[in-house]
Amino acid sequence: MEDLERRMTLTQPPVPDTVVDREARPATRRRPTPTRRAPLSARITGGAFLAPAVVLVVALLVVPFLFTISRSFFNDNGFTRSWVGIENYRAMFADPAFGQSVLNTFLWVVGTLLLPVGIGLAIAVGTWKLRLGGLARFAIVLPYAISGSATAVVWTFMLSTDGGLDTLLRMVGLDGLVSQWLLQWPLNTVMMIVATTWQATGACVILFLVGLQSIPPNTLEAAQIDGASGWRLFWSVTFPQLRPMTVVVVGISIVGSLKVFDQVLLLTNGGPGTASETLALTMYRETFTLSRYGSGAAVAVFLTLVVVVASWAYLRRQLRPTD
Amino acid sequence: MTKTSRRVLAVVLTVVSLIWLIPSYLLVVNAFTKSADYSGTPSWWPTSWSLFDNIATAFQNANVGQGMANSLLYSVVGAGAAVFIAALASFAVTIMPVKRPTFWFWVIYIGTILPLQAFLSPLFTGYAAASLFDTQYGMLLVYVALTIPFAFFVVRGHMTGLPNEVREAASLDGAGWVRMFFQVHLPLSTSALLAAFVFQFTWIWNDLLFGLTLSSSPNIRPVMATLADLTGNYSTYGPPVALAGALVASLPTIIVFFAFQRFFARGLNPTA
Amino acid sequence: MPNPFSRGPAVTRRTALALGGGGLLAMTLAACARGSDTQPSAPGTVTLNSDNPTWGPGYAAASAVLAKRIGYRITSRSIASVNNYTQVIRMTAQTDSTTDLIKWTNGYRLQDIARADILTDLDPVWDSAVERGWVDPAQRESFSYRGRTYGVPLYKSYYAVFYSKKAFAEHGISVPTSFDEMLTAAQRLKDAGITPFLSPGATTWEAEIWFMQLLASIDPDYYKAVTTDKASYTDEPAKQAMDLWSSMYAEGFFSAPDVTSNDLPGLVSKGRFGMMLYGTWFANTLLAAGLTDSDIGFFRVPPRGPAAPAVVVESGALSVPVKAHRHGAAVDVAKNWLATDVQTAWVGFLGDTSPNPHALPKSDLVKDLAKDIADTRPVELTRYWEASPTPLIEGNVQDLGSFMVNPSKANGVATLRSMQNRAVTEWKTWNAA
Repeated sequence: MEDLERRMTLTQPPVPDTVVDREARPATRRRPTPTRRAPLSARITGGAFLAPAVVLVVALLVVPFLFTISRSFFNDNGFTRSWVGIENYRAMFADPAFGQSVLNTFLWVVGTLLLPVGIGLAIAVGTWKLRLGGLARFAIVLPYAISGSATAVVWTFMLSTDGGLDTLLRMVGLDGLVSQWLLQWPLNTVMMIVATTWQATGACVILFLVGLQSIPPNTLEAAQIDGASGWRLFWSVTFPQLRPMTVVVVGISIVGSLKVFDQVLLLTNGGPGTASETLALTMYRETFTLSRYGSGAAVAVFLTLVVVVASWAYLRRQLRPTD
Repeated sequence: MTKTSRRVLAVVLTVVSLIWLIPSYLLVVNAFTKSADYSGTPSWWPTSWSLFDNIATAFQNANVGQGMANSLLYSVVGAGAAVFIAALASFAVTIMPVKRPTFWFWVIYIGTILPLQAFLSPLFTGYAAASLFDTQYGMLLVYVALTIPFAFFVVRGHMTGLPNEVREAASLDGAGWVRMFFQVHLPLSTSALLAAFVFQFTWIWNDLLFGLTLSSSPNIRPVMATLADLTGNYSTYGPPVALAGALVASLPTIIVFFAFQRFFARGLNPTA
Repeated sequence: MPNPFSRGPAVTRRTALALGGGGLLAMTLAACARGSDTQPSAPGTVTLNSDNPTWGPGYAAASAVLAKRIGYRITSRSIASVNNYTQVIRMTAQTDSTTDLIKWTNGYRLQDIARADILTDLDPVWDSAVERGWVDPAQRESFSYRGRTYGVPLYKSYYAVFYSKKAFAEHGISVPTSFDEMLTAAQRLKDAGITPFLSPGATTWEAEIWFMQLLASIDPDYYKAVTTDKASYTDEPAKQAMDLWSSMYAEGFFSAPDVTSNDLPGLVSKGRFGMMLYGTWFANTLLAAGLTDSDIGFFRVPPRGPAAPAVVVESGALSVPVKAHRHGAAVDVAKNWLATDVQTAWVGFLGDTSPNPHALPKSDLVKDLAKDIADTRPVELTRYWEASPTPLIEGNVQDLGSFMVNPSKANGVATLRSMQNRAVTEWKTWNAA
């Protein structure tokens, strides 16, 4: 297995070519040489390969979501419903709590892109060939493997008034910094982003490690022979080679941070009041707590649109040639 | 890398690791506390050795053992099936002559985009109507569907990075698509497949929302839903018991992560 | 270029087939497993759905008595998350996959689902229970919608102050009989370094507890009026309540608002617990943690000034969905639920008071309180959580939570104004439906 990989990588050019070319000239890419079997049977096989994934996703995820879209045009309390057209959307945009929700979601996106992705990349690259790296990776990946309910309990310990963090600050004499971490906005959103970083960085580290090991080693060696090292080596060789994986990590982070829900629910429940709610939480509150399925569906549709547009804007750029 | 910069890096890494370990440390230490002694402030040192009592309480009162067995089935079979199906789809979208590959990519990728709560309610109604509510088959089905999109994204990302010459050579050799998939692309993508499997195993194992809503019997419920009994609104057990239960419930994911880590850290071998 | 098809460790067709076959087998076996709970229940049992998994043994105890009376037992199942439970019931109660009995709340939350015609009218059950003296007829109204009843009281808890007997004894504090005495007690505890009132609620339903209690102590009639849209949140009594609450915070009588009620047993064992205003159903947790009558006592919050004595009551509902499989048996169970022997078994487990005035709890913890209430006969007010339509309450409680984080007098006025604005909109919506 390793034999095969090594031989492959020794004779292949670096990665970005394929990424670059993929979408631009599909026709010449796709068609193998004319002596191949008829396109129709190949297309059928292609369909067969695609079918299980598409069928499962569409039947169990997309179709229920289409119901949700239709629900957003009704005033629905689970028992009776009446058509209201776009009234739910109008009310949603007019609600001041909605603006707060959007702001919080935006804060989460920025925070998640800077911290878990940034730190994850740094750790992956920094510990890749280091012996000490194993310990650092263990410490950072461990939180990802711990269950969400345990994480919520621990961070509630840490961040409640006179909890872990306050005790720690008092121990080192930083009494002035003691605050009610989860009770003041925007401090609570910042602290929740820190808590999420603690858990999510591990996933980014693993994905970046996977990306790093698909870099052909002789590319790195060649660059090092040329005199590049440290930061320059990273910036001009390693980072570009990591592009496919960076696309994956950033894409996932954008989606995950726009949809953030569990951490906010468990740590502050969107509070105090609705100050730290994100869009997913607003949708949850409308649907599950107030039983206003129409309004909840409207928020869900809006959130999905935002996520789709953000993902498309990002991925589209990455899947196109940039040079 | 110069010696000083290497030392600096080592120091930075040690500090970062220690900071990162603090919450995990708190988790373990407080799981040792006797439940009746817990008064709201976490302890930094183990105050008593009640870990096994707490674990026993968790297992007896919340059926955590059976929950773990159920979750094991869902995670292994679910993640395994999802990764395999995702690999098939990635192969189709990146290598095979499928019309409009971007469209199919988005159809599947949209699965990660949808906010979970948005389709929970219609899914539940559909399940109740199709008699899939509270069945293992129903749980497996929804877990596979939920984990395909992410696995697809990861494996596809990896497959687009595979050199083109592999495909050309394969097609010249006269190999069929199926053979090419099983003998070339699947082995080449092992690290991505394993990464996707580990992530989705963890995701399914840690799922709470679907377990809570789509199942209710002890022989169907996954482990996080059983733990919710301990941390819910009416829980009569304090955080130490919940932590002890959560710790034990986290062991399988920790084990899976670190068992598979060697596949991600292969770059450690300097001559590779 | 080396041949990429070296046979070595590639996934052979055989391996793939083996894996696939194994997977399919696993899935087929899995498909055979159906939930033990959702299969048709054994004969002689009715199923009950609830959001509280810890009450299982209680239902079992009550079932033992029920089986002797009517030959039916209750098998209970639960969904641990309150929000999920509410949604599941709303979805299933209209279908065939509902349980025979459901646990719900009374008041407006019950009215919300009763309007949808999915619950059975239980008037005959109430008539028979009132006739036999099994229940206080004053409770009937909170279980009604448009003159018909749709549930029987599943449990009945009061909101009272839990206090640490040791702390009171050590600092020479006697059980308060007036509101001012209670404030003095709080001051004494504060001087001794103990947080007087443990008061959770920054982000939970608990934010309503002190609000509703202060209103009950200041003007119970106003409380009834404001929760039924006959008074405004900006009226005088509410302002007094918020001012009083503010000043109590200013005096340092309350803990930080993000504590949890589960801290209580630990604080007792460390000798750092003073008082906590909470529902008496919490006694169940205290008993489970090993606390006894010598550790904890209860007292009803006295009225302030000339107001009549009042106490806030929380009483869940046991309802029968129209589509229950064993409908007749379920109604029968509801009929016998309030019987004295069934209730004695039930509260014997709960450690709480019973809707049936003749059933006394085995544990002593609540006995004194029960006696005091029987003697004083205070006005019984429905808990705020179900006293008005749900969206109004949910929003208002969030406002109260924000107030607790920042309890200044000015904020109190702003909170009341926000609550009143919401009341205007929500009552309109409720009345229109």
